[in-house]
Amino acid sequence: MSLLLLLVLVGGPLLLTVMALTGHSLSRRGVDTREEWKWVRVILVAALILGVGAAWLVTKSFDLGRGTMLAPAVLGLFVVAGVGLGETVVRPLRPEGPRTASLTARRVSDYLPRTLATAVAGITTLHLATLVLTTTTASSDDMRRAGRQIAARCGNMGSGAGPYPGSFYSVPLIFLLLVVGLVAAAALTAVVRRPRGFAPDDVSDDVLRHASTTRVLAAAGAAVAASHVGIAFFAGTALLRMDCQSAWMDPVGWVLLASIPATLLLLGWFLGRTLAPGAIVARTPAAQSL
Amino acid sequence: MSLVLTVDPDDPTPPYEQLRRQLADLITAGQLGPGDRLPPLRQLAGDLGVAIGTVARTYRELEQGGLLTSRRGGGTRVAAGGRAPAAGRRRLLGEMTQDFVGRARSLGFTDDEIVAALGRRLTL
Repeated sequence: MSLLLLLVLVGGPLLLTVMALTGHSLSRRGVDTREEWKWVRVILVAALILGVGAAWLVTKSFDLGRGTMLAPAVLGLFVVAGVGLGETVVRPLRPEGPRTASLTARRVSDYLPRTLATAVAGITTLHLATLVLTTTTASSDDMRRAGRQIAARCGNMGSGAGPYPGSFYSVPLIFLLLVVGLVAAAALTAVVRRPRGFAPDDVSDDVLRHASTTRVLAAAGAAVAASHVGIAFFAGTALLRMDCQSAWMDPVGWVLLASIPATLLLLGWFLGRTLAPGAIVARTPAAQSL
Repeated sequence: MSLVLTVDPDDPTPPYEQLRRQLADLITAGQLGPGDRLPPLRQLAGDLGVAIGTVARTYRELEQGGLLTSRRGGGTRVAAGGRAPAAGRRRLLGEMTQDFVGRARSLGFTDDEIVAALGRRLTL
């Protein structure tokens, strides 16, 4: 791994954290969620730029297409981290005076939009199932690199196709997706534990919290969906290119290719939910008069 | 209806005592029943802008008073014997009424005026 890649992978999140903390200190003038949303967007754009840079470096640093297969997940990881940081760190200070707290315990599940959560769970299950299938069915290539191609034998004739996302590709990808999942889970927990008092009233506070969990979840879904598009394409085309196929290869290949347009639609929806502000709580009368 | 706790930083009563009194009243009045789960220390402290130790002290004192029970991993709940009997509810209402009547009398209102004011309020 090149020094530059290491620098981006370590320095990128650090830079995002510094930006988020700067936004946190600059937005301490009062409760104004519009100002706060501006900072959330700045951090998201920075995360996108850094993520594209990191994905490009990963593509260049790993040979035999491994970087290309990892790139979408790397970009997704930066987006999830950027959204998570923006949603948890950039918040204005609470107003002065008596403070109230509900006696209802907040749980992450209470704040997850059901349709979005189902879609993210669905695409994650499909993606992990695809990776398990490709990992268990892959074989070594002609250079004895394990898990790089798919092979089959029909009598005396043998056939192989690659690149195929066996362990050569799937092990680092699964590790990366695990990190995406952990970052998203940490961000969701932080959003739900975020103290009340960051919006003019409790109802707006809940609206804000719902919007934050939606963005974090959608970003995680986008990371998984983007990764699935690449894996489904390489696995599907490899399976269909085989001259000599096992019975399962043709239908599975077509199913994987058919999942690509549906996943692209989901990806667009996830990105839309990540970038759209959702509900922006109106300014308090005091803030409006400033 | 969501139950709410309030901490007033300008009140000379220490925050832990403000919380202890409100929680004890909610339990005595039956608004919080046996087995009801209270929010985690971190959530309540964050929402109220007080130290975690402040909420921990409130919970600890209520536990010592037999109103709450804590179990590792199970959170803090209202104790099985936490709900006061009807006498406790009546006593709490009696104390609140005594405070109100005492304050109204000290401001010069007659008993007839106090009863009339209560009657008007209760018919609303």
